[in-house]
Amino acid sequence: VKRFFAVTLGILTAIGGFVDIGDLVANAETGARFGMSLSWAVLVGVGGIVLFAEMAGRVATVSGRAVFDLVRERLGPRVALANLLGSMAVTFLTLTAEIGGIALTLQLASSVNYLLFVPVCAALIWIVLWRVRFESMERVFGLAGLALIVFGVALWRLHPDWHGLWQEARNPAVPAGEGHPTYFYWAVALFGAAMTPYEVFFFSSGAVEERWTRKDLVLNRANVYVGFPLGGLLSLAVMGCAAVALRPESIEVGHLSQVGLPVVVALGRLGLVAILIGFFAATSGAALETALSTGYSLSQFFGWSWGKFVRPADAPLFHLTLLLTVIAGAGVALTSIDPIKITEYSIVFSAVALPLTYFPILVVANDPDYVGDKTNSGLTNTLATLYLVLIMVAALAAIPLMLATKAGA
Amino acid sequence: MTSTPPMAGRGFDAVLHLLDRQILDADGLPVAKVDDVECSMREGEALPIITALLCGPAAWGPRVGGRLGGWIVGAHNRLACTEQPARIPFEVVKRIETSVDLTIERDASGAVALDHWVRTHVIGRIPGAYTASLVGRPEHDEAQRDGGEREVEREADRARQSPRSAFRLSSLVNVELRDTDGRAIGEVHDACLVQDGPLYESFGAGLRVHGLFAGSGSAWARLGLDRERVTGPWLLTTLARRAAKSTMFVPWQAVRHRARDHIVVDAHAIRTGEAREHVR
Repeated sequence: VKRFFAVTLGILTAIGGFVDIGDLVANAETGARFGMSLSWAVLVGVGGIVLFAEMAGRVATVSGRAVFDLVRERLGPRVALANLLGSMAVTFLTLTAEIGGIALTLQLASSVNYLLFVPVCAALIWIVLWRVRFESMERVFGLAGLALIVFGVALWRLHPDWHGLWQEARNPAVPAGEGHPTYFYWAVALFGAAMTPYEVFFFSSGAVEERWTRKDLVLNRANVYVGFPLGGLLSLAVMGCAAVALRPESIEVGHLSQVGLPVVVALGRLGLVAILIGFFAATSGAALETALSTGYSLSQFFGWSWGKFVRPADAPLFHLTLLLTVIAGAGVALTSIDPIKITEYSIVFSAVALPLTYFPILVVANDPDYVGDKTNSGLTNTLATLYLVLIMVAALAAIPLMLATKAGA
Repeated sequence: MTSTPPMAGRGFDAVLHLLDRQILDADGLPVAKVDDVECSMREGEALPIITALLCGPAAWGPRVGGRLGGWIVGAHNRLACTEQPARIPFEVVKRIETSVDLTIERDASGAVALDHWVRTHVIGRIPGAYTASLVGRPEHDEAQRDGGEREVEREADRARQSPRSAFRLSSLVNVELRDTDGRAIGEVHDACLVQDGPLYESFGAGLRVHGLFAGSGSAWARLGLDRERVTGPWLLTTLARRAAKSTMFVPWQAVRHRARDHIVVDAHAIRTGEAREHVR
């Protein structure tokens, strides 16, 4: 059990990246429209985030320097500032959506308009950020988020044509009635959702929060290899459920309740309870992850004291950032802007911002001044170079595809 | 905080190893970034020596450049009522590794004024600010922190005095290099520091600026991929080493004149084709 608790950082990071409010809907929507033919994009994304987070975690563990320290050191104040503004914008938009997402979950549970829940949710998030120990936070929200495994159970209970799903995943093709640009837009969106900058800000800073040292490198790997593939599996399960239950009825997914529909069909009331817990934990976890990531990246850019391992009074600027972002996030969510639309856009923009974060980490993970003898292996470097190309292609293609397809409509 | 071995030959490249690094205090707590570095000429010394680390928007703002950089500096000058960045004298620097470690506590560094203000006026007023998180683990010893602030301020005031000959390290990099006939011959991308200056109690021999690195591959040099110790990824190191072939080393003695956007040097003294590690 103790071993299992040791990987909750990876699990929470992955849940915030793979099955937060926007991804839940995006996965279900792609499932309902494209079946399993886009599952490769999720798998490619899992591969990328595993590589990326392992490097970032290793550097943080050995040198004590988290991601944005390195961005600043390697890119200089000018480019790092551009990266900071871009990444913070994406992360803040996601936070806004997650606060809306927690409120939407509570609306599903209570039928009370979600806007009434927004201030309550924001207050709740802030209290956790202010008072709860980092490890307790990651355990509670990471493990409760695993309630989403119910999507896997539901898929199994729906008795799908496994062979058909597998064939569709293995031989991806653009389904009739969908254009190529739309298909690739969703591929970039799923890839971007898997590899968001805030995941690595959070993961590497979390490694520092937990005081990992050289002997914890095994822990770093375990977190990466367990957490992210698990996140990927959850998002494939959501996609599969939609492909089996929603596509035949041509239900277009646009709301959180439709995401959970297949589970309710398959498992009834018990399933409903499980998905409500899962949605709540996943969106809250993602809100905590994004709020902290904003604080981490800003503090690391300026060199402020940061982290939950010191008293708030010893990291005042970090806590001020957290407070202001949560208030501003709630403010934006209260404008009744659609939280799901926000994340769908922010995923695409995060694909654009990614290269400027990925590149410095790749460079530093090869620098003996930082990691001593723990530099990248040849295999890691080969894969990481391939992903560097892939990330740049996705970054360049993201906005043209979004404009050409009117955001995948 | 780190276990990385010291750099070979006790040489440092200013941009690669010093600028933008995290400064940690004696307890390992973050203080600020090395937003710029103060160099000064001492009497009887031919080479500039590093005399302080500079922190705050007044130091990094100008490095951002352009209109945005101007705004940052302007806003800082209005709000902080000074045009000077915080100055951490080199006397209190203990070592330079993946972080720059000091011998003093962060409150005595003079670089955490904003931090203090926010603690006193905002965060410190929220209940629970001074207690550890629920189910927390033992914290740093609580005794020191507040109190004695007056003394701290006085120390900071004393530290704020820069020598008259002082200039910023950033004024040496990303500027055009010209020969004595006014022809542009490249862009400076780093400064070569060697630890052979006057003795400091905690750091040992101080750092002197021995020369400048210039050429066309400044982006690659900034990433440090051209060094022999970095073995991958193949694609990036290959590109970096190709760019580094044109690197010029300009000994400090060859510098004739420094201006805001260019440096005039004696072109005969420039050495080319040497890897950075081999120059020292």
